[in-house]
Parts: sequence; structure tokens; C-alpha cells
Amino acid sequence: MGVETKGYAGKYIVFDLGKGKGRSEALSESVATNFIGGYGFGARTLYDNVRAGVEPYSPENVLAWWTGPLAGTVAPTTSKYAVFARSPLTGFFGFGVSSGGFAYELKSAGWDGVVFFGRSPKPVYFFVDDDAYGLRDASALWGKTTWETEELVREELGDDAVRVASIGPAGEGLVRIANITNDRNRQVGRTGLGSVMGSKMLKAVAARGTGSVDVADPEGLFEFSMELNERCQGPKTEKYRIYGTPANVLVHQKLCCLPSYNFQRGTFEYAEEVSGERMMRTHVKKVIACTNCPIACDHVNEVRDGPYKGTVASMDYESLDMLGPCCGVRDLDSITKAVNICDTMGVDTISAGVTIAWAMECYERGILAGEDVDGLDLRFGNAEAMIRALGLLCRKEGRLGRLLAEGVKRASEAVGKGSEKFAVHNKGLEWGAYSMRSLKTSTLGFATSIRGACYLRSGSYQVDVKGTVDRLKLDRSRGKIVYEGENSYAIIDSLILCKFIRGVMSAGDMAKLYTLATGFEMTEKQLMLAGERIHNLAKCFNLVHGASRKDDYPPPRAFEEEMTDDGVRGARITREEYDEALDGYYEARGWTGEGIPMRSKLAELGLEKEGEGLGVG
Amino acid sequence: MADSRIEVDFIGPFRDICGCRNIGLDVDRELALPALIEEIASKFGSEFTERLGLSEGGYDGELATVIVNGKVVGGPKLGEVVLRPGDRVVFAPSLTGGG
Repeated sequence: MGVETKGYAGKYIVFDLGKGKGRSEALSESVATNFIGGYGFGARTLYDNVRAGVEPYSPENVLAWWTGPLAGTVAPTTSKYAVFARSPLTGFFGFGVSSGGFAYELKSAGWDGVVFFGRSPKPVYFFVDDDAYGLRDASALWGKTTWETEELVREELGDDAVRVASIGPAGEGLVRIANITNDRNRQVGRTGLGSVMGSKMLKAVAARGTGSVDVADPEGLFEFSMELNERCQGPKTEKYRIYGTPANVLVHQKLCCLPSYNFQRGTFEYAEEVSGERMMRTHVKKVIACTNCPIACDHVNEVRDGPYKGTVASMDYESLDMLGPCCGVRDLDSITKAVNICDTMGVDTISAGVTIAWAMECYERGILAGEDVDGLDLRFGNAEAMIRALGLLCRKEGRLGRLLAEGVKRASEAVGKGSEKFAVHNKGLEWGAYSMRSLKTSTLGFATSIRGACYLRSGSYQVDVKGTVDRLKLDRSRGKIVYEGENSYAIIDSLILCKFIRGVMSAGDMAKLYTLATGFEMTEKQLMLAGERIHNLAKCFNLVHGASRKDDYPPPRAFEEEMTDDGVRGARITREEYDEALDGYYEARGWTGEGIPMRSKLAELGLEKEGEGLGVG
Repeated sequence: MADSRIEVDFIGPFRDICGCRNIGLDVDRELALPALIEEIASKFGSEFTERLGLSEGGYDGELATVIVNGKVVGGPKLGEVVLRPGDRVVFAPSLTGGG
């Protein structure tokens, strides 16, 4: 039976790329209200369709695109979609969320999502045009950058309003850290899903919708959305609107948690030169917003002089740090150029920056030299070498490019010689721009994250940086903090809302939005339970694909090396305190000491069937 | 004579409000953190305290971060912090991540 609640389109496309044929499937009421949308639907799709042993690049891997029940409505910051597949980078639950205008178009076309199976024999792109959908030849697009692809698809379709999400040459070439780009600056960035598209010969997905989304209480939703819009214009989101996330650079610097030189240090001696404050004066050309967003956080840089003059790139804190201080680079022009290369060639800035920073450390330690690095002088701080290495990575050219294209985990395993110890990742996903040893609750959240090292799965860094806890210590109580953050973020990623709204919207507000849009009376408690259900289902997927307790640890550098920065000198994580915190996390989740959900917990969440065969206690 | 001063750094909006990166205050005795904030506000305007969230029911770390000698001051503890000559205080926007 199809979904009767409003808000949802009520149907999605299932498409076999091998046969070039698809069908419309009804969204079930039970899936809608129990799994909400976005992340929840992705967890359901992957768990139900990707069995153990299905290789990420095989035709059997699923590539699922989902919106949420609020996309296409007046609710602010809801033009978001998420993409899911078994990750070629981690082997586990792969997903990423993007913004822009793509979700608005797909939902307005009358679809909650698209689930792709199979592999096309030739390059294609998929076009959803209201009720109609199908493949179009993309032979002429193969090899084009993401920005060129967007323009060419719109040109071919003769409609400037079409929104395009595409891969660049990196995704085509199965670079494991390849991403998906839409609206030039917005990305499904993490876990290498661009290369899953490449493996399916799917160059792009384009959407155009002229319909509207039917909601249960249009007046109520409008009124509440206007109130939320006002809150979004208030002081709690000023930091995003005016300064953007690069304002984090100097705050991280003061807290000694600004990763530099491949996470060897937590401060950068040139932090002022790459600060958000300086960037505002010297590089920011404009600030833009996603569809239906009153915040407008996207700070777009333009290089004004020098060899990279005219280069444009959207700059956020993570990209800035990973391709800046993490590589020892202090030049904003070069960092802007590097981000531009990532965005147009289609690779994740975080993964690229961390992988190159690892190679730089290998070079300085004499582990990589000469032909290994294709003759580059890959010292920390050599911006030109970083940019050239990035170009090689994106095209898998040369020995260095082929090595780095595998991501830092595989690259370090291939090189060996102890370099695995300073390969900074969890589950194969490169670590984000939060120091491991001086933000310890954050580290627990990164390491237990479903998709690998990630600050967006629990936001657990917040208690560290707000002084709620002693950030230089870990104990059992931190587990509950991560657990609650994950459940809450699971709902944000399922509705799907922008996380920048979290400071002005409570869980109760989210439940109210859901009720107004769908007509299904959702309480805050039910919503948080759904968050827990979704997270557990994603965890079950990881267990099916071989995850265990050993996958929930930060890399050796967190344990084995003391920080040397004044203010946090000597900081490191001890195995004992981490084990205690991890035990606390499993306990809060109702999981065994091996990180396996207990039968009673799964029953409480309505996931009894999923627990079968997992050996739950 | 750095030891007779309290060094204050401004980041983000606080830098804009105060029009400088940092200031030094000569002190010869202990000074409560709220008193320091009051002194800065008297010099640079009430926007400073507003930006800290003090006019919105209190500093809670949502709008701003106050760091004393590398340690974040948790919301409820703002009034308890006593500064001494040689201390370093940072007023910064709250850390953000997401999207």
C-alpha cells in the first residue's frame, strides 16, 4: 500500500542501468513514518538490497538518491538530498548529503528518490522531467569537468532551470575519493560515491520539476516556516551568514585543535594568513544561498592576482584546513586553486587534503622519494607541489597519482614502512579538520561514525569546544553524548535539514514541521526513536559487511604521539580511557561489547528481523 | 612588562566590533571575567556584550566562545572566572560545522 501521508511524493523510481528501464514504486506508509526520509530511506535501501559480498564497483551495488518529506515545501533549508551505496573507500555504509537546488527539482517532479541498479554499457546521464524519466547518451560528456557537464546538460535540454548532479574525470576513473557535484559548489562529498557513479557509467543525474508538493497543513506550515526564517536571520546563524565556516580557523588555532602538518600539530604558525577574517578581505567575491535557504553561508572565493588569477571556488573550513594547514600550505590563492581542482575534477577536498598530507609526511621521512612522487618536491608547505599532486590524483596519472587515488588507508597499506601509523582515517575515510588529541569527545564521535571519520554524524565536538566537558579527557559518560548526538543528527539527515539550523530549531520543532507537512502526528519522542532506529539499521548494514569493534578506533597517531603545541603539550589519548569511553558508547546504545546491537534493543526499535544472523546477545 | 597585563584577543565579529586583533590591559590585581567584559564594552560599545549573548539570557557558548589560557569557559562558569596578570583571554565566535 502506498503512502497516504502528505509531504512525500509517495513514489520513487527504481531503474536498471543495464537494461535502461525503470519502474515507479510506491513508498510504503510504514517506511515513511518509521524511517522518515533521506538517511533513513538510504539505510533501508542499502540493508534490503546490498547483501554481504557485493563489491562496491559491481553492478549489484545499489546507488540510491533520496530526498526528505520537507524537500520542495516552504520549510527553510530543506532543499537537500542524500546519496547512498556501499562505499568503495570504506566497504561500509557510504553516504553523503548535498544542498543546492537539485532536491527541490526532483521532489517538484513528483519523486521522493531514485534507486539505481546495474551498470550501463556506455556513458549515460539520467533525466527526470516531471513524470517522464530515462537515460540519455553521455558519450560527449565523458571526460568533462563537473562544471562543464552542468552547462552542457542544461544546454542540451534547453532549460536553464534543470539542476544537474554530476561526476568529473575522477569519478569516471574510479578514484576512490571521488564525489558528486551539483550547482557547481555543492557536493555529496564523502565516502567515494562519485566513483560508484563512474563504475555504473552514470555521468550525471538531472532533474526538472514543475509540480508542487502537497502538504497536510499548508497555512500552518507556512506560518511556522516564516517563524523559522526569522530565527534563521537572528544572531545564532550570523556566523554562517557573515563569516562562513572559515571563521573557525583562528578559533581552532586558539584551542590548539587546528590540524596542521598531517595532524602532527594542533596549531599553524601562519594561521592568520589563512584565516576566515583575512579571506573575507582578500578573496570572498560573493556569498550565495541554496534554494529556499534564508541563511546563505556559501562564501565563494576569487583569486585576484598571480598565476591563479580568476580562479573561483567555494571555501569552507574543512576544505581550507585540509588543503591548507594540514599540508603546511599558507597561501590562500593556492588553497582556492586546489579546492577549484577538487570541485571541477570531482574529488572530496577533505580526503584529498589528508591523503596528500600523508604523502608529504612520507616524503619528509624518506619513505617516498624520486619516482615514487613523480619527481615532485613534496615537502610540507610546497603549494605548487600540492597542486600538481592533486592533479595527478584526480586523473590517476603517474605512480603518485595512482597511489593517492586509492585514499590514505589503501595508499599507506601499499607503501607500508610504518606509514600506516600516520595515515589519519577511520574505517578508511579520511579524518576531518578536528584535532584528535585535543578534542577527545569529538574523536569518539569520529571513530564510531557509521560512515567513517566524520564530524557530521554526531556533532560531538560541540561539548568539547563549548567547555561542557574537559576536552583533554575521556570517560564513560562521553558515550551517551555521542549516542544522543547521533540520534539527533540521524533525524536532521532524514528530514533532511541543514545542520546550520540546529541552533535555532529544537527536536520538538522538527517533530512539528514533520506533522505540519505530512499530517502524521509525530512526537519528539517518536522522532528521536526513529533516529535511533535509523542508526541501528545502518549499523546492521556495517555488521553484515564485516564491521567489528576494531573499526571504532581512531588512528595510531591519536594514541602514540604526544602533542607538542603550547597549551596542550603532552596531550594524547590513552588506550584505557578510549576503551572506557567506547564501552560507554556501546552501553548507551544497547550494544554488546563488540558493538553488536542486542536483540532487546532491536526489538524495541522494530528491527527484530534485521538482527537475525548477526549474533546479537 | 607582559606579566602585569591581561592580553585579550578578538576573533571574527569581536575583531570587527573592536576594530583590532588584540588589546592589553594593565592590571595589578585579580579581575573577574565579567568585569573585564564590562570594561571592554565600555570602550567598544554594548554590541560586544550582545554578541556574547549576554543580552539574550546569558552566555551559553551558542553565540560565542570565551577561552582563558587555552581553556574554554563553559556557559555557567563565566561569572566564576577570575583573571590574573599574565592571563590570555580570547573572544571568538562559536565553532561551527555542518551544512
